[in-house]
Amino acid sequence: MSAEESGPYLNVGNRLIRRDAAERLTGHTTYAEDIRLPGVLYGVLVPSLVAAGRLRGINVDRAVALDGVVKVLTAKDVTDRCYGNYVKDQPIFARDRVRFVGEPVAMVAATSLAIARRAAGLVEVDIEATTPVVDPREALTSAEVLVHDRDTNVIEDVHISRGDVDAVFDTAHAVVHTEIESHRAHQAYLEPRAVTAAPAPGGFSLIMSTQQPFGVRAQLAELFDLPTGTIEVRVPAIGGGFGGKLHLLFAPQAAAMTLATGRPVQIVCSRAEDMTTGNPRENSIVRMSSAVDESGRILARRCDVVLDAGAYAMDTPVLTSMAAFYATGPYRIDALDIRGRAVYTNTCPTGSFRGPSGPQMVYAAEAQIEDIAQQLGLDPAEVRRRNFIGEGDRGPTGELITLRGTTDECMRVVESRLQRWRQADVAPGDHRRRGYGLACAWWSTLGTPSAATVELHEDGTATLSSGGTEIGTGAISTALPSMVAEELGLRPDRVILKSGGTRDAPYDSGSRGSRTMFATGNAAVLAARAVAEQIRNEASRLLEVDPADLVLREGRVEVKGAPETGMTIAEVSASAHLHSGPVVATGRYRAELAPVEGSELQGARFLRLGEPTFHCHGVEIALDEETGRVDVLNFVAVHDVGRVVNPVGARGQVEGGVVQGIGYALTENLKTNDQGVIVNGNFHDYRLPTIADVPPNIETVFIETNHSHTGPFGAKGLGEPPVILPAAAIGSALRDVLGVQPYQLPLDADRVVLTIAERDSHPVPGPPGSTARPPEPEVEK
Amino acid sequence: MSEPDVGAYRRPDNLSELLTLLDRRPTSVLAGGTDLVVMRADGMVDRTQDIVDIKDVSDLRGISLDADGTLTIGAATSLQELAKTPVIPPNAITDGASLVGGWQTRARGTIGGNICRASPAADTLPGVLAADAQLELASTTGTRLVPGHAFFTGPGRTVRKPNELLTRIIVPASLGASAYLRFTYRLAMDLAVVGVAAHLDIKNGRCVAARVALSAAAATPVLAPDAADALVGTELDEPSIEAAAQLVLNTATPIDDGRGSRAHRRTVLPVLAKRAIGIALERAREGHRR
Amino acid sequence: MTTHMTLRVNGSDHDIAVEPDTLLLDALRYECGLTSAKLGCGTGDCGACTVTVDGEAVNSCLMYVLECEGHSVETVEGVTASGIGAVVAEEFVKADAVQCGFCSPGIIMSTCALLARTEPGAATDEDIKEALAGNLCRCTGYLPILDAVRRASGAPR
Repeated sequence: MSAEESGPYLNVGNRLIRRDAAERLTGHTTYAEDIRLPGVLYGVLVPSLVAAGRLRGINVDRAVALDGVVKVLTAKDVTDRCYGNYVKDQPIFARDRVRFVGEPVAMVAATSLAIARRAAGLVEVDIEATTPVVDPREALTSAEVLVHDRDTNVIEDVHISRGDVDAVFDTAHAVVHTEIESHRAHQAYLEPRAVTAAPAPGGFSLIMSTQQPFGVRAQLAELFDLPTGTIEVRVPAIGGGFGGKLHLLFAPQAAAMTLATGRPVQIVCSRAEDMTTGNPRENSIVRMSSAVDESGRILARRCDVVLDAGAYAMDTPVLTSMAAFYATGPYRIDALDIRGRAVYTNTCPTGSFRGPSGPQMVYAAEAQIEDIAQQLGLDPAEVRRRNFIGEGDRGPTGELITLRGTTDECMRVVESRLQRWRQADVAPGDHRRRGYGLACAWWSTLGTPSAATVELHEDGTATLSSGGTEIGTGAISTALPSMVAEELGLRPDRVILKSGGTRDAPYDSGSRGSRTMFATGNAAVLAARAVAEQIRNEASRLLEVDPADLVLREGRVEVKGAPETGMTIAEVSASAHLHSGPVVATGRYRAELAPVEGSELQGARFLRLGEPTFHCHGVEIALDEETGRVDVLNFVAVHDVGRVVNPVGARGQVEGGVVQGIGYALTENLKTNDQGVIVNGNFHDYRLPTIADVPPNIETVFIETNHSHTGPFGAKGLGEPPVILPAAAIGSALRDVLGVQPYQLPLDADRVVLTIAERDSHPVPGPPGSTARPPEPEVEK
Repeated sequence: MSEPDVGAYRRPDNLSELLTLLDRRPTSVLAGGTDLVVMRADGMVDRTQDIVDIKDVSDLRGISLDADGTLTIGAATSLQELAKTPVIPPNAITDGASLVGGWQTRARGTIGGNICRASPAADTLPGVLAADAQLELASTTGTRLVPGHAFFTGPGRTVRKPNELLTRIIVPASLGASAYLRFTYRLAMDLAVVGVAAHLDIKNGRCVAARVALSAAAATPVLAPDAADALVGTELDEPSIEAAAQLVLNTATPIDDGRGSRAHRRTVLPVLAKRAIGIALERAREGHRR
Repeated sequence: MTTHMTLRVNGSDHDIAVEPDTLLLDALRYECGLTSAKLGCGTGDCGACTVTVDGEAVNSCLMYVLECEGHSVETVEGVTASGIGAVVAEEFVKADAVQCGFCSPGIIMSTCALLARTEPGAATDEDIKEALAGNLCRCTGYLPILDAVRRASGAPR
């Protein structure tokens, strides 16, 4: 699809009011837990209370004896096949060994939730506890404490190499080293995970809060050895996902219980269960070194990333590749030696969280830039500018960048805001110190497969059938039908969306990777274009005009240059149904895979990043030095995501992502103690930002001059990028005010106080608080 | 095998009937329910206990000020009513009440519930201690008064006997003013990482009496006598306040937990003490006694 | 020990069978068939279960339904059907103050309670934050919500 075809569009690029908003706001939208099937059993899982141990026995007699209990399942009652997206390492119920606190060892199904809970408490689990390994550094080297029956805890080891890194490091003007550590954060969607399984001919159906129904179906078909078509995954409204609902979650357990009892079974996680058995953003260690010349140009980079996978792999293998790919940041670096590893620990398995590996990789890369600038006595913005990747440059695997690099444009907007904020007066009596910071990043849009069907009916209305999952962004519910309407020259309300599961629509690879607007959108647009062609062909026959001379607009098929000559689309569609056949087409999309050029990849799960997007965030913070408290006063988020299809929805993605990013940076921290127990798995001690915590103003700016060559109407993905930069921007602002960079996340009050204490115990040149920065450069206002 | 019966729900409308119910068998006293409902569901409180809802006993609600300046707060007074009361100027107790949970929890939760739950991190308790309040416990056999600082015996534990009901919080008249401050990571909906209440009595510009109390700094809310004593006799100038504030660390024995670290708590406690004393002083100077 | 009670919800009386410790939330969802109030946390920390009782916003996960006997409960299905509640919902639509929607009914209810106790246009940003701090939203970042409530507050009633 051409990027250069520019509007004016009737729908695309305009404020689109969400189609499903009113229903959601008035309480009529149905979520998984709202559906209670007749005869449903309530499933409650029995968790392991220890992080590691040998399972000696399970006695279910007391549980089974309770009135209302229908069935209790343990590992011996179910298939011994394991599941997992990349590594099949996870059993339905722990078998012989337990590997994390919260791992299901059994499941009770009963006629009421209260009975099921009580029965779960009566299941006697005999575990011989063994020493757990909870620290990824220890897990990396330990040969004694192994989480799985393998000779190492390392489950993934990815290398990207390019150029003669050793030679460049040996001869470079300077080598700068940065090392950061990051924490776990939970997606903390408001709707706890929920699934209902029900018997269906030959298999079962699920009603599930999932971002990826087709992926769930494929994995369950394999796990239960059933033909894919015998499993249906129906997706009602989803109360948030953010990556936390990409996995199978407790679908295998619910399905196993349904297969065992022949009855519907519902599992709804309590918040505590959700927080302690979910798949939070992984904690990690990132070590990064750059060889630079005297101008700050980065000549080579070494990077070693270690991700904590927790007890099971889930999608950490692919995240390890992502982390490695993002080790360059939005910078052109011609010589690379990047290693990404993931290790098992006896902790809750980690997994995708909106922008997986992004926050820590951006934090590391941007702290590295500022370390380079400080060591060389340069302005960090200037160092960034000298290194930004752009059109014609090559990315980490040598892939050619065919879009303009706009990080600099983004940064200039941010710089102008920072300058304005610096000049603003501080309220009298406010003794907090101000800090100003920015962070740059690039990200990419996942182009994984999608298909969609568009059917034009005899009355000139259309149905779009998409396997895409509406997780709240509005991309599926609102943007997709609008794009189809744009292609067909129809009013958006003439395009009816059918989505929400595997039954009524073709394959889609899920709401993840910032891909729905882009990849699911591409499939829908391709289908719409094929339908438009069928209409033009039919109209061509009727009007005796070359199809190329026909346009579809405002419900009519018109001859270019002679709009009075034409017919309504309904008339043409009705005619087609009688003469040439139904007007229907399926579009299929998969981003083109470019070859690796000049880089050597080992163990990577994919070969290159997708369509690149460019970003810069800027922040003003106020620091209470006595308590370490940081407040965000102002925030600006600048994004180049190509054409913005729906400005309202896009702003919502940015603001929501920024606030999640601020939460990650300042208040959220899912803590696991040395026994592998999550100590704040609830909504009072896991601190999500409230309405009282958000900055009064988050300015959202889009650079809309760099349309994608391959996205629908030139759009690229936006879901993830807003969440990956705030921590790095706040880190930069703290460096501004403290004179030193905190190298450990989160940047909470505790960390800030420690950073100040550490700074004061190692005097740095210059008065405390001053930085080695040169004066701010003049920038355009 | 079947489930044991859940205790009955009762809602008496007068105190004597209520106290009789408490006397008869172990009961869950239900005021706002914002803690109790969760604790019963989690099994921290026995679900076979009867639930005795005290909200229909009107004597247990309301805030009143006597002619001599004694303040009486009914135990079933909601935290929201207390936080917004026009009866008294802002003080450490109302400061604390306004910080508990969110609007919904303050609308239901009560001062008596907050006290009897006896969380070491509860926000109203330092104010109760700093105000030198007396807590009135009633039973079928009579009433007794317990000073706030003697009421708490451990996390979730108090001197209240199962057949007793906390009926009123009686705050003596005061020449001074008070304030409560806490440190939290979020600006709302958080539980105190640490908190400090300060109460100052001032005569002729000099501090004649002071009480400083801490939350989330020990197993119970505690008075910090060293800090308070250091204020008495001073003109509450900045160096005196700063020096006294530092002495809260003589009392504080904070721990490392999921909510905060011991080291950070020790860093923040004197800062909060200094600031709470400063606000109390400002209030006293503006004539906002309490 | 099942008992029967009359629960007044959205102006209608529901005769329902309850246990002594049946939550208001569960009674609304499973006895009255009103599923707008959601179980987000069960500990009063998220506000997804917010409804009003006698006009005051409360967490229905922290109340026994028997406490509501003789009181009047409203849920978002009721309040958005007409009047100021419908205005609030409309402002939320216009401001794009809803994404996944799981928190939205609770937020609308807290907003309605706020508007009921303030004069038109009188609610300050601080009032709004105080009223809504007990309602977590993970999607929007809150700014559109703030905007929608400001506008609804200013609307004629």
